[in-house]
Amino acid sequence: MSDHYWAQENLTSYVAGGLTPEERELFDNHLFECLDCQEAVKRTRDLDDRLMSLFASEKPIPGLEDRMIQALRSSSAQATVRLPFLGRLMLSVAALVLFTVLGALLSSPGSVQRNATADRALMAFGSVERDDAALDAKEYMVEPLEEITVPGPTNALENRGSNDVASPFLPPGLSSPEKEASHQYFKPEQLFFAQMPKDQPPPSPEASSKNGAKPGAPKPQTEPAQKETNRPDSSGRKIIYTGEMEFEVDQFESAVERVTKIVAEEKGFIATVNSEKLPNGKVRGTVVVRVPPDRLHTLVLKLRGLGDLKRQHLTSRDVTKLYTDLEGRLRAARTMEKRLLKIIEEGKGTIKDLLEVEKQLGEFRERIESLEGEIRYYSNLIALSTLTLTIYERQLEAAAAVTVTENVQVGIETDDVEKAYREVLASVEEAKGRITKSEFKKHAGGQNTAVIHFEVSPESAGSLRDRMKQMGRISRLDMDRASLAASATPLANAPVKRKNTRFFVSIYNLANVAPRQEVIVELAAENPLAVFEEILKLARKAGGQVVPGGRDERTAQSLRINVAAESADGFELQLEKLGELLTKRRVYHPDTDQYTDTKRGFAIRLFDFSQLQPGENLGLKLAVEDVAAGFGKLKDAAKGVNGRVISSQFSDRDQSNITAKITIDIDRDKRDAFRDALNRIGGIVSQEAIAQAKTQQQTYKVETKVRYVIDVIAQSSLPARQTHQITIEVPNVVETAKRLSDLVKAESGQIIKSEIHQRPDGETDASLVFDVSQADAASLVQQFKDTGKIRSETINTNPKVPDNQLARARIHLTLSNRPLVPSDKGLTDQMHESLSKSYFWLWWSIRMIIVGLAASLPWLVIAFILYRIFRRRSEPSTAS
Amino acid sequence: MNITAAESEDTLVEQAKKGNRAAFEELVRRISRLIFARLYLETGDVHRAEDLLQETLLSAFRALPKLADASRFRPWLLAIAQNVAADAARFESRKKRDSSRLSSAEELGRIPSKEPPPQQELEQQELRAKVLAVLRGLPDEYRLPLTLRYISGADYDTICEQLRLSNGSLRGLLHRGMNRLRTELERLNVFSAAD
Repeated sequence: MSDHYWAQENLTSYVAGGLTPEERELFDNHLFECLDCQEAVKRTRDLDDRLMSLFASEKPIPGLEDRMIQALRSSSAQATVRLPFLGRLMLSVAALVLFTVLGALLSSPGSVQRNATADRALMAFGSVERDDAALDAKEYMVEPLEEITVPGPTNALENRGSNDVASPFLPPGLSSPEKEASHQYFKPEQLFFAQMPKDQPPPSPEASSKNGAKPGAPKPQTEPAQKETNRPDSSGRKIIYTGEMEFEVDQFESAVERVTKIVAEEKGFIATVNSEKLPNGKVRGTVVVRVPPDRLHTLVLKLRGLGDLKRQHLTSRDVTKLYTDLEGRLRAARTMEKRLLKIIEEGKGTIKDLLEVEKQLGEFRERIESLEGEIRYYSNLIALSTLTLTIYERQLEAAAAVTVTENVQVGIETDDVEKAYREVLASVEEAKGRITKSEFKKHAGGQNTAVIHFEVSPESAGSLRDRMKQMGRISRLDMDRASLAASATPLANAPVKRKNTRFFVSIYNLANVAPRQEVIVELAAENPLAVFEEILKLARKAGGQVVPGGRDERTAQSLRINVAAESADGFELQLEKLGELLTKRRVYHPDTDQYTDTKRGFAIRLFDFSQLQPGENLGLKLAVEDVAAGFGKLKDAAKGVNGRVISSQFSDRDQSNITAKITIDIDRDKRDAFRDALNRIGGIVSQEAIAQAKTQQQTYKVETKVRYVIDVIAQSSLPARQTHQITIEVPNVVETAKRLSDLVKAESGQIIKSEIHQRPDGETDASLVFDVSQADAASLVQQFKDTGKIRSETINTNPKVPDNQLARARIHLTLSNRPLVPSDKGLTDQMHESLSKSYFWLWWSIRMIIVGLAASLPWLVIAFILYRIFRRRSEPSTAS
Repeated sequence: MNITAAESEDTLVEQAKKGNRAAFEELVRRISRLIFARLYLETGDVHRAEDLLQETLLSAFRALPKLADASRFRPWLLAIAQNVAADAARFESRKKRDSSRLSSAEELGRIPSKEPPPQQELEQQELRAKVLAVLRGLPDEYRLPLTLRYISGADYDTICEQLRLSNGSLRGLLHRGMNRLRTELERLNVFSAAD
């Protein structure tokens, strides 16, 4: 029965498969006997099955551990890259915040300190990065290693994984051999190369097939000598060399002959020659040459002289494996054949069997033959290299001539068209040319034109051209040469046939041709009519002609003159001297037949000087002591500088305010003299440039004149330049007031007001107002001040009043004998003051705090967010 | 207790502490199903459990040098798993609170499939939840072998290895655990309801 308890205890293990085979047997035996246990097992199994099926969909996909390890490798590799970076970022952001706040707070004390901190921060940052770089370098270092042979597939996986994750986790100093090994394993290709000799580049498939030929030499013929030394395939390598070359030659037949000779020299032979005649009469063909492989390259070199080498392609193919395979199969087939033969010889077995053997034998023989054929084929290819030459004859153009025709178009400007016309005709006659068209026309206004078309032989064309150049100015000379070839692509050395040169000559005179360059001049003159005559005289001297219709006799104000180009510059200079140049424009007409460069047109307009507004208008305000006298002086001054009084006006209706107004035009160069005169007469209060009203007719201004519009006003009507307000405490008011008034009078000042108040309590106030010249004011005020204790003093300067010798100063003087009052500040005032001070400082502090917060808060927020991201990314806290 | 196994595990931990990846991976092989079982009991979701397992292992590997006593590796690892699960739960609840911030991938994962699961599957889910509740109610030593067997799909030997138990000691635990589970399930009429 102890079995029963044991079975009950181990029932679940039985179901779960946890029993050893012996125990299992034991359990099975018991189960056979015990119904209870059978029931229990059934129930347990039932529950087990239910649970199993229930959670079947919840089971992890098989390979959980492997997946975990894989994930561990990859994710930790990622994390290692990210973590230090985030950390660095955090550090830099924190530093930034700190320094920004510090900088903001310390901005006023001095920026030097801040810069220093910033530099330090940068340096720290840099050093961190440098460390990282060093680490990287370490990680990517590759050293020769011993582990290369070790890794099997699983091992390799493990190694790679451990490399990925372990390296960043290891302390920097600790570099276990295992770590390094796995690093190296990680870079298999580098390792591979590291094992090879340093000077040899990585092998390529081509190189290996060439059996010792150095790789990296794309054209084998560059080193034929070396090839030849390697040629005898001692190693048993079977290599097929083939080549293709393409030549362009002068003649196919002779080329083939040369090829035959060269090939014979190289112990080869010509396998096939194909040739065909192309539609253009040229021959194109292919020559297949067979030559021993060691001669192939010398052959190629020699063949290069055959003609233009257009293309060359040499290849080799390693058929060793194929060849040996074939040989093996052949051997096997022969053995089989022998065996079958033996069977037949022995003659054992039934007839039927023998027949079967015979049939088999036939099959094997067939196979042997085909194998032998294949081997022969390859042997042939290996023994003799095949070089295919494609040779074609050069494409020569038929000797069809290229015809060249030359057309010359000549335009001649000349004064005498008729004479030139006859000359051209005569010279064409002389050159035995053929005139195809000739016409001569006389137009109105002396305009003549002639057109001649002719053909001459090309030899005499040049001299004819030169002769025409003598006849007049060549305004146009177009030569075009058209060569017409018989075929589409003429060759450079094709014979050229020159046809007659055709000339298209047009001759014309310049009477009606407008000048290309036109100068439009507008002049202002004192006497326009005289200037007009002067211009006509000048034009005549310069050989110019007045353009018909260009002269306007009625107003005598404008005219048009054409002057020959060579004398135009002189004419222009002289023209400008005749009056004041208002405007000058140059118009260039397009360079066509209708315009000529031989003339220059002048369109001249003349203006009366006096009718033009001066270019500069000045409005002045002149303050004088006596307006009437000043007015007179002003007129004299204007006369003195040859000025022209345009208008003058004097009004003394209001005696207290006599004014005068005068408008004077003065030459510009006399301006300074006039200004001096003005300064002598009075003081210039204000000066302004008066904008000229724009009128329709008179848009021109004369720059040589300056217009003065002068308002003359009395000096006394001006306000005082300086106003002094002085309050002085003096012991004896009345006496001081009298003394000071005398002082002012002595300095020729005016006493405007003088009031003295005497009160019953003995206090006396005096209020005095003086007008003195400004030059005296300072000394006077000083004298006033010396009389007693100054209570208050203000000086106002009126900037609108000119500061000249006529400027006035007004002094408001208050004298008093009232005693000084003590400070009126009570306790309340003092309390108020200190409270307000305290309030000010409090407010200032709060404001500074707010400013500081505003400066740093965004950074703090960013830093906080980054910190949270960092927290979330990094793993949750480790063991408690 | 299998003494030789314990020794080798301690050695492995020591090796892993020195940065030996292979050793740590061997540890992962030995212990990951156990942690998976624990995490599954926590979460009730096989994919989440697997994610958390991965996170746990990663954290453990990073923090391994900090582990002072190699023999305390298992409790330490389980504590990490516990923390990871708790962190994840916290993160989850926060994400639920502002669901607008869900990334699209997570959102996709949350969207239930368009077709409603078949009736049978629904019932299975319900049943699973009940059994899981019962399992959670059992003491650790009983529920872990059962979870390992039914959820992480470990066979008997693997359970032994994962729990570092001898064959014999597992038998008793398995037996008693199974019995308790059965009684609980029968008490709650879990399977009879399905029948």
